[in-house]
This record gives sequence, C-alpha cells and structure tokens, in this order.
Amino acid sequence: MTDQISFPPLLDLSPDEMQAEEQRLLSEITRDETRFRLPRLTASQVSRRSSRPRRVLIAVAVTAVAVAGASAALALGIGSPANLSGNRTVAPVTYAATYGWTPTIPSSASTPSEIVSAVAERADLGTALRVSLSAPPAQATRRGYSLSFDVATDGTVAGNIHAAWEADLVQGVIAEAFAARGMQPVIGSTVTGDLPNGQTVGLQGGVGDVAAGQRFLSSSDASIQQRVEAVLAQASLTPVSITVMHVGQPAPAVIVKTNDPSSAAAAAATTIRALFGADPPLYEGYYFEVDNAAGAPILAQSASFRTGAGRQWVDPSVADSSSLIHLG
Amino acid sequence: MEPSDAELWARSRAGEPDAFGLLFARHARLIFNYCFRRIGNRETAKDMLQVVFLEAWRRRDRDLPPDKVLPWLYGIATNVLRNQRRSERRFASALSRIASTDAEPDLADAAVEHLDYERQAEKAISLLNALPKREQDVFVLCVGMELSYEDVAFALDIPIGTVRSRLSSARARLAELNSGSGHERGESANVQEAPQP
Repeated sequence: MTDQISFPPLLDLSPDEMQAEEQRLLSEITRDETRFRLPRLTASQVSRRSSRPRRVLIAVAVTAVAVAGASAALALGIGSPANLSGNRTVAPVTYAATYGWTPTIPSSASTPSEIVSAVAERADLGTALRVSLSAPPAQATRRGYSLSFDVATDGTVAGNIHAAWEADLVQGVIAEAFAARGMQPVIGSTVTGDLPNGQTVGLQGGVGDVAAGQRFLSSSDASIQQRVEAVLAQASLTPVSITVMHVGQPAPAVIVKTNDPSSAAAAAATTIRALFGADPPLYEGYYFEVDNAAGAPILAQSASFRTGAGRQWVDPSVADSSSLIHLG
Repeated sequence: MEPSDAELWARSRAGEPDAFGLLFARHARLIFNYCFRRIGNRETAKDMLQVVFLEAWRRRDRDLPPDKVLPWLYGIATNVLRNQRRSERRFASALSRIASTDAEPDLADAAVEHLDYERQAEKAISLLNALPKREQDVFVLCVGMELSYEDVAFALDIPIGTVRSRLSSARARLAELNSGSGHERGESANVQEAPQP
C-alpha cells in the first residue's frame, strides 16, 4: 500500500559534513562536561560562581514587575499560609485559590544543595538552566539562602524574559521545598543570561513575599493546549508554540503570531486573562509572547506566582509600555 | 565486528564520548532526515540533529533495551521538533559555539538539489500540517522513516494500539483531503509502508 504523502528521498550528509557534525557534537560534550549535569555543589564551586564577573548588556529596558505585595492578592485559602520569604511581620501574598501543595522532591535530596539540584533536574531544561546556592545579598537583614541562576538566552528581550521566567519558576519550587522541610528561606536571587556569543547579560532576580503551599491547577498538557487553542482562535491569534513547564505544577508558555500587532498589543491583557486566568490565576506561572508576521517578538509577559515575579515588555513602536497591564 | 548499539550505549553511559560519537555516526543520517522531513530546511535540520544528540547525551543515565537506541533517539527528536523554538533557545549557547561548519562547499549542483529536496519536503509538510500533531508524529515515523509499530510505540511512549489507530486516522484524513482537493501525487516515488508484524 502506498501513502498519500510523497516524502523527499533520504538526504545524505557528505562525509566531510558528517565528520564536521560529529566533531561539532563531540567538542561540545567534551568541552564542558559539567554543563550536561547539574553537579552537587561544593563550597569551592559556590565561591567561584559568586565571584563571577557579570556584564550587563541589556540595551532595551525590560519592565520587571514585582507582583508580590501588590493589591491583586487573592486569599481564598484554607488556614494560614506560611511565608516563603521568612518575613512574618506582614501577611504574605497569595495568588492561588487554595493551599495545600508541596513539591515532590526525591527523599535522597536532603541538603539545600541537593534540593536545588533536584528541582533543577525536574525542570528538565538541560544546559539551558543552571542554579546554585550563592552568598546572601550584602544588604540581607535576615538569615536565608540566595540562588544564582545562569540561563541560556538568545539575547532578545523576549528571549531574556522567557529564560528568566524559567528561572523564576525553578526558584519558586526551590523556595517551596525549603519551606516544606522547615529550612531557612530563599531571601535573594540573581539571574544571569548566557548569550550565544559567550557573553552574559544581567537579568533581574529577586524574591517576593509570597505564601507557601499555593495550589494551582494540575491540568494535563492536552487540556491546557485545548484551552489555549480555543482562546487563541477566538482572539484571532495564530499559535506558534504551546509548551508546558513542569517544575512544580503546570505552567504554560504560549507564543503566538499576528498580522495586526497594534490590535494584539491592545488586547493583550484580555487575552492573557482568558488564557491563564487572573482572579485567581490558573497556573503557577505563564509566559506569553506575541510575534509579528515576520516572527519578531513585539510583546512578552511572564509571571511566576510562587516567587511573585512578573516581567513584561512591549515594542515601543507598537504600543506604549504603560498600556500593557500585568495581571499578576 | 562492529559493536552493537547496546554496547555503544553502555559505553556512552559510562561517559565515553568516543562511543557516543560512533552512535552519532551510525544514526545521524536517519535522525537528520527525520528532522528534515518535519522541518523542510536542511540547515535547521542539522542544528536539530545536534540538539537531539546533545539531549541524548544529557540523558545518558537512561537504561535502554538493547534494540531501542534508535527508536529512543527518534522519540527525543520528536520532542525536540515539537518544541523547536524552545529547543533552539535551550541550546542557543551550544549551537552558536559549535556553529555549523562549511564542510561542504556550496556547489551550484548541490545547492539546487538541496532546494529541490526542500521544496518536496515543504509540500509534504503542508499536507502533514492538516493532521493533528500526534498523528503527524506517528505518520512520519511509520511511513516516512519506516519504523515498526513497536518502535514507534517505544519512541512516542504510547501503546502499539494507539500507533495503529493514529496511523489509521491519519490515513483516513489524508485520503479525505486528497479526494476533496484533487491533490496529485508528486513525481518522487511514494514511500512504501514498512512491513509490520
């Protein structure tokens, strides 16, 4: 029986190309073996990382919105939430409708470094994200841990937000794991973007004053995809990619394309609300990006409701940045 | 005698890059073609080939059945392609650092041949896009790459019955499309279905 699609014949890579591609692969996997594993950190590694020079190359301003503590907090929870940041003088912010969630961490991970590694493994981002414990911020007034993230980014503003969002999600689940085990809280973080040219870019990190144990939806990837596709169809937006992160609970990343950037930017808040909910948010975080017809990002927004971190950017030639509302 | 996939995988798991290099040499052509048939662009397919093997190396703690290394690589490739944009971002540093070398001179004949293949691939992809993604995966693996149902089931981590039903559904949809649109088959030989148990 034949089938209805004619595939092209199998292509051959020339012997030179094959050799070059093999060398390309081997040089990468032998270049820095540690990039392919998240090693258990030693004291020397922590000190080396904390002294790493960081070069700030951001050319375009990214609005980083600290959503923790904002008036959008919603507290329909049961009982009193613990506070991830360890500061108990003010009520922590709660975004989810209910409490009662703790991350699943292998019992073999018992020290803070092991928990950090376990959560990062769970994020399954491979070489795109490395995280380690680092020295607490100099201005810290209480005891706790600081996290240092290195994330791969293409260097675009949207790429930076996407990469930093993944770090935000990982940080949130690490903080949850520490809280669940009665450890000292995460009180600070830095996020560094690794650019394709080998340079680095400082992306903003930080910790919000957020309640521990928030329970968001645990929908299947398929149902999230269905929901997203339905909303996008209504909004006349073309999906480019719909992926779901599983650091803690599901967190969708949705990239869409439009032929009408201005209208898409103007409707962004409505679209984001429909996609991810707002009162309360449906997921532990989200990333939303709108690309123009040429595939260039014109808007990006992210939220991580376990850290209270939100980031957003809109191309100034498309809309005024003040017109983009963050729903976190 | 050449070492089996299982032997090479065991040595790769023990941290021998050379063994992994042999696996790459053995399977790169098929994985590259799978990527090409899903993407339609030769250079991007080469990048995705790198991503697939980088991801396989990263996951080398995986214990695989002796004859399932290649199906497993197809499974990784399917995930990488499904999240191509994210995969590219994920491995942006690596891909840029190991930028594709111009190992092959861009001879006119070769360039024309590549373009011709890319056009054929684009035509196939435009038809594939009429299918749900899960059916696309099954169809290309079963028909385009001639994997057995069992291997496709392993690659996609789904039951064999699901492979059969998705393939059947894909064929029905394509038949309907063809009858509805009057689509004519291309000049290249239609791919024969691989013999199935």
